[in-house]
Amino acid sequence: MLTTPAELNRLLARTARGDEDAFARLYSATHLKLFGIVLRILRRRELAVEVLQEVYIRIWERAGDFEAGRASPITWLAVIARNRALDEARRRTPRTADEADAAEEVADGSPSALERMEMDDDLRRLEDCLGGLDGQRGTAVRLAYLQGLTRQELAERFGQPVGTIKSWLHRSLKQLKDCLES
Amino acid sequence: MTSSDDIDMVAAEFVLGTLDPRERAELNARRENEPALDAAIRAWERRLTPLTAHAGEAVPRADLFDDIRRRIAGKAAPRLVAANENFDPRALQKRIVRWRAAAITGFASAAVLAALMVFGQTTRPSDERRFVAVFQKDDRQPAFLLSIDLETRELVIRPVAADPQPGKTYQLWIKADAIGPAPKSLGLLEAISSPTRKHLPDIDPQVLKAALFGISVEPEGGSPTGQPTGPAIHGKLLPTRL
Repeated sequence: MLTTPAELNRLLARTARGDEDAFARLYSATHLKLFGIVLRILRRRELAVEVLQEVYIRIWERAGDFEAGRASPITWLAVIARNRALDEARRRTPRTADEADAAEEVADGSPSALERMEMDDDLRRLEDCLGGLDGQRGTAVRLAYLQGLTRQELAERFGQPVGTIKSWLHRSLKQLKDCLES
Repeated sequence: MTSSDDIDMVAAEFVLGTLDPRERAELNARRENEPALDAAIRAWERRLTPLTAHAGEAVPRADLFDDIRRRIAGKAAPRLVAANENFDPRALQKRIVRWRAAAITGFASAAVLAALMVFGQTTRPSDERRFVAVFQKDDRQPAFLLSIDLETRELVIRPVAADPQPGKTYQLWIKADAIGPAPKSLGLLEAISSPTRKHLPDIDPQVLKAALFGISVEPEGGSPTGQPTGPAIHGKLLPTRL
């Protein structure tokens, strides 16, 4: 994405004042990324498009709530997209077999050396910390975050009881936080 | 009692997305009134969002934005534009002169009169959900007018006599016993020259009616501490129909 955070801040501030041109520019600068997030979680294109539409309407309505001092614009936008997609996915659990299959085409492993070169510092740091988790546990965190897998779905995928998955996630998240803050 | 570790773990799982729908909904409601939980959620959002880079980009249908544009045209904007059209700062300035005369002779309180001036002609008889607050600088003239629709929780703040301050922003706060002992931020007023609209979090209308609203002067980007740090002015809601 070529738009800088400062530009996104300005576009969001103008959107908050009802400036439709700024909103259109915000859309063109961000919709590919937000659609990627939503589609990966929901898997069905048609449904993902519907949800993306609601995401942008929410952005239009809530742009005035964005506080540049508290979050980066892309985090704020991505959180709206992910939350809306997760709410929709949870409303529909359990997923159909088709939807579950669609998940398989998505890569979920560690990034390649080439991919690592293209990462920004925050992501590289997070990847380093995720890499420190036991293999399957790191994968579980990625699958939950990127594809919206539930504890139950993770349990089936890894052939573990739900309780075990829950403690995997808790231990992984604690370890991740310690690592990021060290 | 929930320990801070528990709060952090439930916040982490909320952001990860692995809570069940009931837990998710519960947490969404709780975070409005629990600053520690809200802060923990935001911190996890910051930590994990870089991962969205792996989701990759995807292309929706090309005419999607046309649909979005149509829907926003039929939604929030017209109501706010309509509200803005009724607002003529110059006419208000003239009225302020008259209002000051009235206030000095003690006929009416400034807030009541300003509310009547701005909303008197525009409110419909059935409109009992619209409220207004007036923020005054040194009691001479309104600096900001805030109007709110208690049902939709849409809020519009119009600057009247507020000056832009270089390197500073105005930040809006709410304080009410039901929300907690400390003021809670409702966000920044980005452009001082035009109205700002906001969508309020899920706060009981009765709590809103009794709450104290504040606008403080803060460093750019908002208060660094999460609490008002600069000089502030205050206002309370009044019905638009008296």
